[in-house]
This record gives sequence, C-alpha cells and structure tokens, in this order.
Amino acid sequence: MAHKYREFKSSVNISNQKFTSLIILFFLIGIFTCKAQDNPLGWWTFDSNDQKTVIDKVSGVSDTINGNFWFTDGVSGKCLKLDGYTTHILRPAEKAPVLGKTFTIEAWIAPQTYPWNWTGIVDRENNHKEGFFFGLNAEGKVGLGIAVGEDRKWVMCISGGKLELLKWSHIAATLDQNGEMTVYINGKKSGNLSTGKYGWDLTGWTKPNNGTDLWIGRSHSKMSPQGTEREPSQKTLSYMNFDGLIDEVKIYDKSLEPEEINREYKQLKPKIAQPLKYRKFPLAGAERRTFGAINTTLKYDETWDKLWRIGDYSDIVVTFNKPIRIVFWHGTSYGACYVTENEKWMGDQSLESNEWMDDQKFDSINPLPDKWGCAEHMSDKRCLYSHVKLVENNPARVIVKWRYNPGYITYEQAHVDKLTGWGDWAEEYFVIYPDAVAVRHQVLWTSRWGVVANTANWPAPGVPWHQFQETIFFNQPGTKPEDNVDSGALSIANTIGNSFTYQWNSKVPYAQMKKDGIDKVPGANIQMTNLKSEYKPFIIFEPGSTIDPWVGYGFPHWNHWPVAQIPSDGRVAVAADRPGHTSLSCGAPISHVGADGTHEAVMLYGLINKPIDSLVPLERSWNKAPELKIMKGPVINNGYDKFQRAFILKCENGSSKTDIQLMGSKESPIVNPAFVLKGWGDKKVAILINGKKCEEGINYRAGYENHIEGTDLVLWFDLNSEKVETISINPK
Amino acid sequence: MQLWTNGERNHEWQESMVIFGPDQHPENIIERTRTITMLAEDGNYKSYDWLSGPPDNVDTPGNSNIQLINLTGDYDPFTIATKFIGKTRVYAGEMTSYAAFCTWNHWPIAQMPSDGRYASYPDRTSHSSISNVYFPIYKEDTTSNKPSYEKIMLEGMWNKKATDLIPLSKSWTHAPNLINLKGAEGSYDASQRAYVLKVSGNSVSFTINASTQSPIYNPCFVLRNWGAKEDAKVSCKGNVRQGTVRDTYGSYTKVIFIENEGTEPLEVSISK
Repeated sequence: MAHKYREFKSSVNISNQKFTSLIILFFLIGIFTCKAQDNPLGWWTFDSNDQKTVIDKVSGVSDTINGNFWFTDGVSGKCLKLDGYTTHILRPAEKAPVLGKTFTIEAWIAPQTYPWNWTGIVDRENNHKEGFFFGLNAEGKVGLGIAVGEDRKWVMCISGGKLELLKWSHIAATLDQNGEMTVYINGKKSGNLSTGKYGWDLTGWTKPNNGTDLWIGRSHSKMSPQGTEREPSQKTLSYMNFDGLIDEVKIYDKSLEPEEINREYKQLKPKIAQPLKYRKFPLAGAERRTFGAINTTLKYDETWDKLWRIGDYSDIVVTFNKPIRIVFWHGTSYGACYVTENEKWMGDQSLESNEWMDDQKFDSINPLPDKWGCAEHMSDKRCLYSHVKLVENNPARVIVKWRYNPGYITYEQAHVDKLTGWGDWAEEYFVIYPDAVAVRHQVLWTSRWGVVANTANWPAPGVPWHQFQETIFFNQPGTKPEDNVDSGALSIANTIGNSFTYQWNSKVPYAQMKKDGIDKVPGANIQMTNLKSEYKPFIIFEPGSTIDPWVGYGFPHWNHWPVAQIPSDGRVAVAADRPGHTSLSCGAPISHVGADGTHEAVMLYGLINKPIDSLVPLERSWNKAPELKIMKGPVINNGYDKFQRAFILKCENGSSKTDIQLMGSKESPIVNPAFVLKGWGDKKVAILINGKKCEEGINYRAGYENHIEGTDLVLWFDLNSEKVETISINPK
Repeated sequence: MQLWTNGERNHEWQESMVIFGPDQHPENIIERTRTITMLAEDGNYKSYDWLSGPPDNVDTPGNSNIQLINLTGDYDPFTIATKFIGKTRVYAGEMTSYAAFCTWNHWPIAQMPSDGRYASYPDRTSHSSISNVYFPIYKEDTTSNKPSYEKIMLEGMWNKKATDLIPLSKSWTHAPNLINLKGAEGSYDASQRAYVLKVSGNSVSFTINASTQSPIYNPCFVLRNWGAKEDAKVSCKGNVRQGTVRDTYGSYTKVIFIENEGTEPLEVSISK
C-alpha cells in the first residue's frame, strides 16, 4: 500500500488543502489496515527490468530470468509472460527470503494452459522433504505444500476451486502458527488443511531447507504429466513449467488473516480480466484458392516457435481452389493434416509398433505389449528424424515425401536389427491432385515383420505387429472432441454404396453397433469422419482392408501430441487447454511387399463436401480402374499405378501424337484421371477429348518433371464419366 | 549456412575435400602442381604445389577471397567469400606414405563408426582434405535462447583461368546498385546472389549501375508480389531465364536470371 500511496501522492496537487487532508486520511488508513502487507520479505512487481533480471523491490536483489520470456501489461504495470517450457526466475538459495514458522505467499496469475503436473508459482522445496511449494496443478487447482512431522511427511493443502484459464486470478496461501494451511482464490478461502488435526507437528517445516534455490514459475521436482497412461512415460520425468502470466508475487513471514488476503485481492483490479486467448494452429495458406504446394515455416505461437532451431522452408502447405488445405507441419511431426474450411484439422497415425526397448529381449515373446511404449512419429517431438520434401509441385499434381523414424520418446529406434544396427524406418509419399484427393503410400523397413495390426482381431502375444492407419482428428486449444465432431463421428461405406454411421455416446451397446456396421456394410472400405464442418475428411482402402471403429462412451482425448514437447507417448487430456487429438478407428489396409523387401500400403485420403456414398465412383475408379487402350502413338502402356492414382505411359519417341481410350463404365468409372508420360520431354501439349479441344487450366492441367532419365509429362483431367472417352495428346 | 549453438563460435565452416571412388588415387584426381590458387579481386594471386607434400604456408596474397582447386578434369571447384580471414589452413598433419594429400576413408559411404581412418589403398571410397578457408560471419543471434550464426560463400565449377573469376567475385562482394528503379523497391541480397525487389505495379525498370569495381555477372532478380505466373516480358541485353514461385499467401514471385557480363550500366525493363 505504501508504494501506492507514494504514487498517488505524486499525482495530486499538494497545494490543494482538501487533497492534502484526504491524503493524510488515506495514509492513516493505510497504516492502520495494511501494516502486514506493507512488510513482505519479497515482492516481485515485474515493473522494472533490464531484460535479463527482475528486481525484488523489498531486498533490491536482481533475480535472473532463465529461459524465454516476455514482459506485457499486467495487473499492475508490467507482468512476466512465461512460456511453459523454459521460463523461471531464480533466486539463489543464499539470498532467498528466510521464512519463519508462519508465512504467506500470494500472486496474480493468468494461466495460458494448466501445467502438465504441479508447477511452482513459488517453489523452494527439495525432494518433497524440505522447504515449501506454492503452485498450480493440471486441473487448475492451487496448492501449498510443506514437509511435516519427524519423518518430514509431505502434505499439500489443495484448493477446492480451480482457476479459469486465460484470466487473471489472485492466489494466496498461508501457514499459521497452529499449523493451519489455507489456500485462497480471488480473496476467498478455497482449501484448508490442519496439520495438527492429523497429529503432525511442524518439525519438518520448522527446519526448512536453506540449500535450495527459490524458483518462480517452475517446480524443483521433476514429474510426468498427470494422466500419463503407460509406465515408461510415467517414469520419464520433466520439469513442470508455468505457461502464462505472473504478476505481483509477494512473500510474507507471517500468516495474513483472511480479510487481509481479501484486501490484497481487492487492492488491484486487472484492466483486462482476460488477457490471453487460446492458441490456434497455423492459418498460413488458408486464404489461397489455387492448387499447389508452398514451402514455408509455419508459425504457431511465439512461446513455442522460439524453441525450434529450424529455419525457413521447414513445412509444406498444399492448397486447392477450395477452402481446404493439406498441411505438413513440424507441430504434428509432419504427419499430414487435412484442414477444413472452418479450421478443423484431421490427422492420422504414422506406422506404429510397440515393442521391448531392451534389445536383449528382441527375440523373446513379449507378454506385455505396453512394456516400453508406443513407437511412432508422435514420439519425435523435436522432429530430429521426421522431415518432408517436395518431390513434385506442378499444376497437375504435388508429391510430398515424408521420412520418419517410428521410434520411442527416447529417440531410440524400434526393432533394431542386431546385424545392421538399423531399426524400423518409414517413408510415405503423398501424391496429391487438384481435386483434393491424395494417395498415401506408406513404406516400412523393418527386421521384425509380423502382421498389420487390426484392433478388431489383435494378434496373439509374441506376434509382431505394425499399425498402418488410425483415424485421428485434432482438438485445438479451447475445444473438446464434441466441439469438433458429431456424435455420429464415423461413417463407413462399401463399393456398392451401402453405408452406416457409428454413434458415440449411444444407448445401443457398442458391440451391437459394431456388428450392425459389419452386417449393413459388408466389405466396407470407405470411411468419412463427420467433423463439424462442410468439408469432411475421408479415406478409401483397397478391397479386403478392414475398418475397426473405436466407438464408445465419450471420445478419447489425448494431448501428448501434437505440439507438445513433453516426452510422453500417452497423456489423457485433463482440460481443453492444449492442442490434443482424438482417435476414432483403426484401419488395417492390405499390405504389399515392395521390391526392397519393404512392407507397403496405399490408401486414398481427401476432403469432400458431399455425402459418403458420393465417394463410390472415386473408390471404383481407383480400385477397379478403367482399362486404357492405346489407339495411336509410340507409347507403351505400363498400366494403372494405384500408388500414383495415374496411368503410366512410356514414350518411346519423346513427345509424339498419342491417342488413348479410357474404357469408362459404371463399374469402372473415370474420375479425374491422371497420366504420367515418361520421357515426353518439355514440349508443350495440346489436348482433345472426343475430338473437342480442351483448355489447359480448365479441362486439364499439365506439369513437367525433370528426372535423371528425362522429362516426364504429367496430365490431370477434370473429367468424370461412365463411358468410353478418347483423349488425344499432341505436342504443340 | 546457419548453425544454432550454445557453444563457442569457433566452428569450421568450410573444408576443401576431394572425393574419390574405389580405384581412384588422390594423385590421379588432384593436380600436384598449382593445386591451389589463391586469388584477390585486385588480380594478385599465387598458386601452391603439393609436389612432395603440402606447402608450408598458404598466406599469399593477403587480401585473397577466391580459392580454386586444380583437379585433373576440365572443370575445377572454386570457393569465394567476401574475404578470407587469416591464413588458409593446409591439411599437412596427418600425412601418410599413401599420397601427397592427406587421405581418409571413414567417409563417404563407409558405415563403420569412425571419425578418422587413413586410406592405404584405393579400395574404398575416400577423401582428401586440401584446405580450410576462414571467412566472416554474415548474420548472428547472440542474445536469444536459440543463438545462431550464419555464413555465406559462393561455390561452383570453373573451366577458365582463375583470374576470370574476378568479375563474378566482384559482382557479388561489390554488387552494382540499381539506379532509376521504377515500379519496385528493394536491394541486393548476397545470400541469394540476387536483387530482391518488392513490386508495386505491372512493370519494373531499372539500370544496373555496373562499373569496373562493381561489374555485372549473370544477375538475378527476385520480384516479390509480382502476381502473375505467365512469362514476363523482359527487355535487356542478354539471354533471359525466368521462373515463378508461389508464396504461402497466394502471391506469385517472379525470378529472372539474365546471362550478361560487363562493366557498363545495363538497362532492364520487365513487364507482365
């Protein structure tokens, strides 16, 4: 209060007698009512800084700010913005305030996210045996912790209420002479714990640790996130950092009374109650309405972006003449994202396995599939392995190559071959056409092949497996799964047009619903995720593949991926504060053996604003492609390549007049066909369909791609037909 | 080149390496006379031989910024920096009887975990290191928590005299200014070896104010905000190549490369 008085005094005209009297009155009231608050042991206002330190205005000590940080408008003057990864203020132990038997700590904070686990707002505890901890947990609750009793039992007083995300809250905690621990939120008691009630004395506390530094914004004890699923991640511990704003941190060597806490709360009123907004996935490219790929480095949030040691052109955005895009972003470890017109992001799983970490047990039967954890692209939080390359980018199509290691959160490889030292490695090719349909071609190198994982028919223990597909959509910060997807979240269809929609949170038993899906849609190989958007993501599998819905009560919601940097392979979201994801189903595609002994799969992905049964022609055009006949020209028909969704023609004499027929029919329709004329050269092309001249950019698109062997012509047609179509390809 | 590091800024940024396939001996690939030519933009140069081994010092001329390695083929690799700092380091400390050049075969191709293995036979792929040149930092970040620094240089292959590299070098280290610039604004970006201009209209015109000290050597222009993917009309002396780059927000950037050399001003006009 004293500093406020001085500020107030300096702002008035002291020659005015009325004001002078008023000031004296305020001063006397201040002395009478705020004596305790006027004498904190430490007080960090964050109003003055040299961009490296903050000053404790009581002691005058300059405290180092570690990590990345920003100053912004606070509750009073400026406040500190902490990144949730690195930021914390450090007061060396020898200069830390020495607390007596009783104390009070208070602060204003505005959480951007709740911490993964207990993070220190002010922390000076050591191994939960000494010192004190005042902080925030993963549910937004406030806690005070101290060690009590001869055996220094760690006890915590935790608030019943929780803080609102994004908004300023005043938090405080006291320990009185009776061992009564109390926590406050916005001036009101929110939790209480009497150490004496349980027979504990304050021996532990009365001998507080003096050898531990005082931290603001970070916990001394490393932890795994609350909600961590598997043992390996539970044992992988990290510092817990506060993500948000902190202001007006005070420490007192006495226990303030409830009315004093309330007065502290009321003394300052934030000008802006909610200074923060939820973070959003990158928007770059959303406004583009032309087909093509762009190399760029997508920005997410300054706190997160600042961690990455990457330069320009790290990501790829593919746009179309529709309000949708396909994004390969380091925030998702480069797994392809299909983004709708209203920024609903659909992803998918990489190739995934789950094996013993211990190479000594490589050949043994694995009785506990979860013994180590998941081996997948999600583990590569920093993209040490995962990256994308633009292979083709022309008016007719884009090809993106994604290489990654489906490994563990430790960056160890899965299934390491003892002879070669190589573990599992994967590459995926996305052949993307202007109609927003992408071929996903997966290639897996592994020394431990077993089966394609199918959650509906899981292999016996000891049988190696790899999962190729998992239907995953993202939940942006501030959204829950229900905000992003309908209750009827997944629809399936088959090649004859039967369809069925699986309902989550249904009264129908889920086993029955699964059976209904199988009965009503035999041989289902088309699926659509019913996001709350106009455009909906779909997948088309090869015949013989299976789709197993993970239908249940409520949607699962994890947030160890995307964006998260915490080493975890499974963390159930506690709140809708961070980017998260939800899985709806697992597909088991047909596996192919590649020429290099690889295990490969191919699927079509895309976004469409029509019902699922409208995908049947596309499915047939791909799974039962129409026959191609060469009518004229020195070309060899190398057939239809499902992995490219294109007919491959080899030009024997460079660019020459070539006439072909596509034998379209109802069973084998023509849907936006593509042709690769290998060795065509760089000559421009003129096209006729059924004798009619076509216009480039309207009826068809042409691209030229240089390869070691020569230049290929790539043609893509905006053409849908169930009859025979004659196409003339002529050099200009 | 950009390196993020919290360590000392004493990294090696360049090492002149010649790579050999199996059955290739270093002395069959690298000339032992005039093995390195160090050249300054004022025309002074000195060549160094590896007759019986590396030379003692490669420190002349003192203001050199161009290095040309003399291979037995027609084309030779060159390196150009804004300036070379200090003495050029010569690889001389790990000589064996195998060749007049230090030669190792732990890289390339080799999968053996080794960071240094002398070659004794031409049985494997191997490499010889000739020199390190040292040159200034181009950009750096010393204050943030992801400190980094950057360096730039020109590299290429050359089948002419060493002194013929001087115009190329000068055109980069002392790029001529653009005068009478209309329809755009911008300047030379050495890291792209290109003039990067932000276009404000349908046409751009300027004069490249070339001189003896700032010659023209195949200049390149990056026209941001150009807005059209069709070929531009380019009026100037010299052959023109052009391409289009699309940026994230839907704008087209035009890239124009002009094959032209000289020390006289060159007028250029570009329109849609």
